[in-house]
Amino acid sequence: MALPGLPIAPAGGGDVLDSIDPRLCVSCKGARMLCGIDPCPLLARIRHQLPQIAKSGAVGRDLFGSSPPSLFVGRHGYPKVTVGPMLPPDKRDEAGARRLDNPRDWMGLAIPDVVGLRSSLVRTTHSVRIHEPRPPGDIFSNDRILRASQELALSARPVDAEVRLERVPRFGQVSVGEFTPPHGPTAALERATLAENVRVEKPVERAANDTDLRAAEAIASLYQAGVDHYQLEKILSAGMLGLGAKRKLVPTRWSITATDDQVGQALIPRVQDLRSVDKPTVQFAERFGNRFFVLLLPGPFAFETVEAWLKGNFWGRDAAQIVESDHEDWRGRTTYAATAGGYYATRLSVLEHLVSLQRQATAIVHREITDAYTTPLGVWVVRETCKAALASKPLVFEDPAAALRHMDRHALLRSWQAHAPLLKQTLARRTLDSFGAP
Amino acid sequence: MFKAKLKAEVLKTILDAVATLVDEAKIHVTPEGLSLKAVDPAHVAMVDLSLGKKAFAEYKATDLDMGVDLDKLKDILKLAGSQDLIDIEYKEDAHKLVFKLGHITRRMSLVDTANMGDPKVPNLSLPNQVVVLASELQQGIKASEAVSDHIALVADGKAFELVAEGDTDQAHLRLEGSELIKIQAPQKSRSLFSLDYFSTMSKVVKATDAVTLNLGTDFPVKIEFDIADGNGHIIYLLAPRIESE
Repeated sequence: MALPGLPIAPAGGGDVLDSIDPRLCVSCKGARMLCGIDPCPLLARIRHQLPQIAKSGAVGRDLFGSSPPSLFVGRHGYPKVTVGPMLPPDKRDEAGARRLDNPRDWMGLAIPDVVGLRSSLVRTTHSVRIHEPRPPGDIFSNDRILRASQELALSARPVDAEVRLERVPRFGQVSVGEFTPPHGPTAALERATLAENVRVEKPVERAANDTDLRAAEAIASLYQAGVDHYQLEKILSAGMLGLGAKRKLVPTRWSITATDDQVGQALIPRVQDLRSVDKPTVQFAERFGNRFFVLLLPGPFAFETVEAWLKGNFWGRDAAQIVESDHEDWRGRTTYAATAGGYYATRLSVLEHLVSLQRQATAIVHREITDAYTTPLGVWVVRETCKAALASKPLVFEDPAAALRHMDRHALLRSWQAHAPLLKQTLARRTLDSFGAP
Repeated sequence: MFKAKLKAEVLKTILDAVATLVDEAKIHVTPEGLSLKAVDPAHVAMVDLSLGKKAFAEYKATDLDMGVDLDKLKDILKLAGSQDLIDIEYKEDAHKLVFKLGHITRRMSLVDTANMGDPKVPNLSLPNQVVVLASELQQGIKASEAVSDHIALVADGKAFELVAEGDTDQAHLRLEGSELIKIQAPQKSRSLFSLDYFSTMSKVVKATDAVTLNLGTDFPVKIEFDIADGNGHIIYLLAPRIESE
């Protein structure tokens, strides 16, 4: 399966994968070590198969580059984790630097282009405990590298940074995963400093300085103030929100889903006060081998997502389709969704759309992942593709049955409705109103 | 004005009865007692609850409405044992309810009732009536929960049945004649309901109390029972599901 001229998987790699049930891989998505092997053998294999792009010229141990801004907090060894700025090995103009960490800019790209773009981003690492102490009265750590990473997280625009690494980074090595976007070589830090002052937006500064404000409330208020979603993830990750004594670093992967969940939870009560949509609508978009159908039905806010991993996708490999689903009604949910981070990212996209419509609805999202999904790129694919679907012109139907007939005609998995218990309940439901109540 | 003293378990019963349907409720206070009507957001279920002043150890009130956040009330009740007496007083100027439990004073802000409507109870004519011991019903529900997410309630002549049909398994409760407290079912009736809703509603009744079910065909069920030693009363309405072919 290796591309010509590229190194192939380490000997025995294929055998290992043959012995792992693809259903495990679909639930794990490289994150939960369900097969017992760390690092994930599938991700290890693809690392060797990714096109070798962005081989940088002569780069030494000292890098000077424009951070988008970005930082990465690894989860290995939690509660002792690694943290560090992410930066390219060169100075870039503002738009060029931003583009490195702004998923919205990547929607028109092909998978290799996204990998290529991100491959120039060096992930620097520095070991710290998640509760690394801060001097009294200071919101930043007194660990200088951590402090630089925290300042980056607060910055509203790209920041030039200077780092000294323990070894020369090997460009061409790319790491990919289902949750975080791809990145280039990883290298341990000796030193990291910011080459310029960071500019922090007022609401961000206020939330970071407010050590009596709980993290969930801080996230909700920053979102309300219009702070970019992708920056919110970083601010939370850098441990810059929450009650003073409880502040801690949050591994990037967890921070992404925590942000999706918290913003979503803050939006749900607002959506529940809105009038219902009048008629069923269906919207659709497809990117990176992800096909999203969004069905909005008149009724109270409730949400269900069906994920159909079709034959040939990255995680399910040659297995026939593997289908998972999760849902919540107006009472919400208390357990972590089996469809994992994708559930919360999809739910947030739907909630944002409902807020902009000023309507509530029962939303059923059917996601199909095809063999065009050759490389995991991160949860942003789910968030942005769902948003793309919601930005498309809705098809309006007279009744749910007609909307479902339309979806069935276009879905690759004909039997998807069998995996949607909330949809089934909603269709079977009659309301008291139809018996004479107002 | 509203000033009362009551056992924590009475307040807990009210909370359990209502919190399964809504997060906030408007409580209507009169000199004779409390009442409350609420519909769940899906408009599938409705509760109509009344609690007479005899349910309280002490009760003094004039007419007023209070909007209560039920999650907060839940937190307050966690502070009390079921037999503990709770003092409740409405502070009009601060728009707060003040709870006194033992040495603890807990003030709770009320919710604005301006946007909380009063649901109208639909006028249903339901031909059949069954009175059954709550424990029998609760056993039937327990058996059904393992099998399906919906149940059929059937009444016919002298028999009442609760039927759960899963894809592979079935559960069936059949009670007739003297196994029921009362049955009046001149015509056969059958309706299908969400087990989730029906189950949470039936858990509010004391196992040793009687529950009255009013039934029709493809019509809502009306579930009635007493609370607080007969000093309070709950009526639930639950809309049916559409039978799948």
